[in-house]
Amino acid sequence: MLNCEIGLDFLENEPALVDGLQVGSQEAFETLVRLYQAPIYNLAYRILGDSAEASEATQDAFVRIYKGIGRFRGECGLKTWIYKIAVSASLNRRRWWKRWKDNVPISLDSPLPSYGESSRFLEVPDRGQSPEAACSRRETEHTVQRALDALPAEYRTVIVLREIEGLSYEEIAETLSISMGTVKSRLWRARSQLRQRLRGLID
Amino acid sequence: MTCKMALRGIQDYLDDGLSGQETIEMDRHLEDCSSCRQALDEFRALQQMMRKLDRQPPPPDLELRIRVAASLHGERISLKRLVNELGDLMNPLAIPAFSGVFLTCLTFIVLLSTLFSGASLGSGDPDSALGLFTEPRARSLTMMPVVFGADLPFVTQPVTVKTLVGEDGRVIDYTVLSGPLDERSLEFLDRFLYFGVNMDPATFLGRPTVGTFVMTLSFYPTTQDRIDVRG
Repeated sequence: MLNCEIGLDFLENEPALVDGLQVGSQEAFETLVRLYQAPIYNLAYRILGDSAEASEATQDAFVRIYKGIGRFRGECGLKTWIYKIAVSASLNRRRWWKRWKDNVPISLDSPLPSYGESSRFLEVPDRGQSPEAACSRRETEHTVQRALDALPAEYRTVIVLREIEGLSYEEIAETLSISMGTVKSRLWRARSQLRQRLRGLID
Repeated sequence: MTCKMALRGIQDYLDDGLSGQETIEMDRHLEDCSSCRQALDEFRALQQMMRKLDRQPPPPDLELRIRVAASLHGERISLKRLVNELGDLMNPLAIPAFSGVFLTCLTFIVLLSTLFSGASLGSGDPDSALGLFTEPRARSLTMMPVVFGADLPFVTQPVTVKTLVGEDGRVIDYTVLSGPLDERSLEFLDRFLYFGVNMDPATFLGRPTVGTFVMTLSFYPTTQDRIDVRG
């Protein structure tokens, strides 16, 4: 279905997509948005733990990509370059959001977080599961996301890129501009901390 | 392989980062060590749980919001590009325009300073240049103060003096550059230069000012009324 809507050339040929973006082709940009908005949104969501903030971070990331594509020289892959921008936009958003959240008083009349801003978190696609299974899945999802939120940002970013986005060590190192050794050590610490926090689920 | 080594290798084992030999050793250790096996099982379960997490679908309006944000930015870029292109177009005109403005300002400044200096634009003397510096000029010399003063002897040798001429055309001071320096000769020169010399003062932008004038004087005592001046 995707192929029917967007240019086949761009899908099959990354250099053509980059060329199109660099000359300001609207079609190329639309292709890029359709290809990458879901993974970037998911990445931002896992880093930020909030759907509204993830949307903002995704938007920021695409504007940065639009602005910066002229400087893309292909030293790394397009995907890595895009993930690098997305991680940076998400972490910036998180810093801003954390400061803002810490300074805003919470009204007693405002809805509870679990039914308000994070309500999208509970929107699990219907896969023909029984209500009990769907409920159990939602709980697992919620618990894992809370455990992720509790990790330091640098550990969370690495484990999200590795386990959820499926990037290799090399891609993570390029995306975050860190060494492979640092990737491994952060990943190990993230896994160890998650193992402690989620022991009840993985036993 | 010890448990410590096994634990250190668990991550590489999970991510298929061990060599063949290391994998065999790890497998052998895991068969014998239940605690390391349990740790591996837990890490593997964690890995599978995270990989099975639902991918969060982006909000339906996100694509539209991204396009709007990008197009707004694109308009800003277009505006910036337009300004740059206009700048490029104006560049060839910049030097002539700047020169014109500069010359206009210069002319205006010179004109204003001439007006404020009090000088008349219509000069009585066609030879005097307005707006420039002119040297003092000798107008008249007379031996009267010397002749009627006292019985001073004439300075018989040629004498070169550097005089400082005031705004009124009178000599204010002088220095003998060459010639006799005895007391009598200096008294003679004092009388002659201070009282017998009348000059046109120096001017700057048409206004009288202090200036210097160097002259060589040769006196002829026999005729008493002849003085040669060069300067």
